Amino acid sequence: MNTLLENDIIKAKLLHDMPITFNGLVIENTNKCNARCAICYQSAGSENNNHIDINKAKKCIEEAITLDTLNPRFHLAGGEAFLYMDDCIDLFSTAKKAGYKTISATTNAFWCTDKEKAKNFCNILKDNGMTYIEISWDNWHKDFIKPKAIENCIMACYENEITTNLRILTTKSHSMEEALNRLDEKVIPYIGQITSSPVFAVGRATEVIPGEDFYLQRGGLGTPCYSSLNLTINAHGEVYPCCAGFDQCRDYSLGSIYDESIIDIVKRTNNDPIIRRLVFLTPSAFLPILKEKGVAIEEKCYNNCQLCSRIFSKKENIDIIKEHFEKRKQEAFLRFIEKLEAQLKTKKEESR
Amino acid sequence: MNQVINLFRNFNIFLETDNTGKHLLVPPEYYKHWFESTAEWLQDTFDLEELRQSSLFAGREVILSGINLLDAYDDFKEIAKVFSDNNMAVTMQIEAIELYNHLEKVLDLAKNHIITAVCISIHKESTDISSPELMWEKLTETAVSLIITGAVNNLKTLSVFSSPSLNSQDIRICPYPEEGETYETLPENTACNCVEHLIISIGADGFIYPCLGLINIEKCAIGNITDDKAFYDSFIPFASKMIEQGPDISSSGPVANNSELAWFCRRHRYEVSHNE
Ligand code: SF4
Ligand code: SF4
Repeated sequence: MNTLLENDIIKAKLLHDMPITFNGLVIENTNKCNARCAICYQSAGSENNNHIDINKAKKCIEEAITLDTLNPRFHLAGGEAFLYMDDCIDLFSTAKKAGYKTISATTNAFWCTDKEKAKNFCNILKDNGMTYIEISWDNWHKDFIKPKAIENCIMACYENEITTNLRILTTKSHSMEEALNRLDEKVIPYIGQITSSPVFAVGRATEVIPGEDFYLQRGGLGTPCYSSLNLTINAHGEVYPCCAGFDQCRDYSLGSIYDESIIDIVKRTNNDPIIRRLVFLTPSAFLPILKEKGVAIEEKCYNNCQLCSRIFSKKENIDIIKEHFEKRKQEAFLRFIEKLEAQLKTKKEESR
Repeated sequence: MNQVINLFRNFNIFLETDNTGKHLLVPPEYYKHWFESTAEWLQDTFDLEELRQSSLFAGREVILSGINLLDAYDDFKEIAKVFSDNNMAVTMQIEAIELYNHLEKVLDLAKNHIITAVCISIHKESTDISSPELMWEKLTETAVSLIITGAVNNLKTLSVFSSPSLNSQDIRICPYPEEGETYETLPENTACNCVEHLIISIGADGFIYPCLGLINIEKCAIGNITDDKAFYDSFIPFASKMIEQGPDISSSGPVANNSELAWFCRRHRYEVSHNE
């Protein structure tokens, strides 16, 4: 194992050297949803009505693939992305033509109530390049989606060789077992994989779920997220380095696709000291800065992403962090000037 | 980002003990040498910028699998360290019963950050573990990532879906049908490129393959870790074709669903091993 000092050197090298790379491009085409699940970190619902401009989104898909730091994977998310079927297909086929090798989406499978229709639609998705689908299903989705729709979706994808990932969220009183028991057990072996994670105490969840029902983190918050980032555009056209919660922190977006090209936004992000510190050193790296200004953040949370949302969802925190980095930039500039002046002085003395 | 470079940054390595049972078939120093020369080859071949060199493997994944590997604990640990010292995420794949019998060793590897994930396969024989919850609890306490694979009934026997410990953390589960079962349904629409499946895979004898689907079919090997690295060059055109188009396979004929490989990989493996 590396020593602590070696680990610090590795961290410093990454912070200084490593380009910020993305596992893929994620577009959230809408924040509208037919459901209104208590655990939705976006607090999505039918009342939300933001949609991405489809032509702008297509342009981003075409441009982003030229980025050296982006893996050619395209993922569509929402709200419920499939409320706008025609747009989805348009975006998938654009991604396929542009050369993305993995094309995927997240859905609650509301469109699969009819078995035959689900199968035909999956066939169209496959023809438009879709290789992988994430299906959300748990205690909170059941109030809006029928188990039959989930089962139809799993089988329709299986028959079209679209890999499925059943995504389950848990709390102490709602387990994976409970979610799976609601499905026909014959269908379960056809699921590509099941991924389960505890519900985060953010957004609507904090109002609906009792505090003691949330799971808290067991290990440390030491693992940085730089290897799991996705270049994400939310339904407002704002750009973020991931879709794990930070994408809802609207006071710190990297830029807007309505104002500039995705390429320019990514280039600037790579040199953004706040984002670099966030992804290479973890959100905990901001806690001392905030503490110095008297802001105490509740550190007990499930993981880094929850801490990240806690920090960046408040404008006051962002202002403190920005001010800190602005001050450091000025200090560095002054040090640079002082150094130049000293050099000039030495030169003058030498030439005398 | 060049997909071929990506291919060489995650590895799937199978290991096996030698006939003493205390050492691995290919000694750790070969893996170290091979890893270093692969890094060098990548930098030369793809003319990577100075900046990128320091982070070539950071955050990338290596999966080490095999049976009774913990009997050769020192060799295993040394191989795992080749990768963890380079800031890679190391996943150890292990059978549940072996994990249960050697739990302390696995916990030790996790606590020392030599492995970052454990992929546990649950076969029928593992289902007589008497107190699975204790094992799940100790594992989740180390904050190591967990991936669990197995037939649905075996998963249920070890309380995978109901365990409070497993429900309390991020977990990935790959369920499959009862061992030996074959599916009737054949997908109609399977044409696919290999990009999701290509990963440098090394057999226990050191032969290197482009993906898991072709592992141990020696005529498909692209080299051996004990050889020179030059063979990689001839592999680039093959990899590029697979990334763009996928394999040339006929899309008919039943294929037993007896592994976790994608349908077209199973078909490809079948055709390659049957067509001379
Ligand atoms: S820590 Fe923040 S930036 Fe990193 S993946 Fe999580 S939410 Fe995103
Ligand atoms: S189709 Fe063949 S070459 Fe492609 S990943 Fe599968 S087994 Fe490998």
